[in-house]
Amino acid sequence: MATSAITNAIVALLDGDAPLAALAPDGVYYGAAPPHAERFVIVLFAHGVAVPEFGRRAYEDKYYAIRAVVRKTTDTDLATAQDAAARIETILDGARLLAPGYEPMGCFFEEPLEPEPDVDETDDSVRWFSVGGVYRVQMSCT
Amino acid sequence: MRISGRYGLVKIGAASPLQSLGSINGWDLSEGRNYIDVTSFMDTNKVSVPDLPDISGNIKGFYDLDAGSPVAGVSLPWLEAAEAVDPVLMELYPDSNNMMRYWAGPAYLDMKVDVPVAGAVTLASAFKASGNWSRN
Repeated sequence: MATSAITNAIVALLDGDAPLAALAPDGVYYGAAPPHAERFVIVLFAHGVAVPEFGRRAYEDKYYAIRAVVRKTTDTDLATAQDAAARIETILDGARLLAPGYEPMGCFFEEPLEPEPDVDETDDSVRWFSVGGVYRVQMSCT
Repeated sequence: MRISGRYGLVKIGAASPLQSLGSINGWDLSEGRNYIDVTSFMDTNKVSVPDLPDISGNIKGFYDLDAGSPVAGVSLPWLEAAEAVDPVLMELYPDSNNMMRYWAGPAYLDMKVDVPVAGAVTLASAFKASGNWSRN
């Protein structure tokens, strides 16, 4: 059992969704997207705990901040990021994640992350939008 | 040597050998006593003698009916013990790495099931001695 299996399961589930891929075609990434990506999803671990029972780990209770990030262009704007965030919520809220060493207990939308327009650090004529939510993932250890 | 409660263990059953309960995350036992007032004339302070210890306690854990998960067993014997008319035998171990040290005796159990909207489903029982207990 490796706790990273839960993170990998989230990324894989999002990455395999065709409607989300249409909205964020540059992919789903943990931590940071590669250079030149313009429409993507970022998964970040926020915090979590391993809940013990006698002699072993009972389950893990983890929070992830997951955002759709979109570079503003003539074809994409805040609405694109919002649509992608809504798709992420459809996929994850109530999902039964499959991860080696774990059984799914729950996956919930916990808290919205409202739109954050950002000016690009290297080009102040470029704007980015990111929208998403905090998701709570509980996985029972097998 | 100080020990961690991480490796505690609860066993339960109608007869020996008792069955290890799975998904348990805590137990406590109280040997509380009442005191009988025997203060007499000319005593300079109140005087008491102890009544018998009142053995009671609690066990708590997660609701888990999945056979084989956890390794130690499932919650079913626990639920059945709480529903039973007869008392059950209990063994309470502070550390399963030292199975020579434990408290044991017969008891009645009750049951509380807690289902929080965003948390794990848990079970909790209070128990009360129905016969003589011992500490090994």
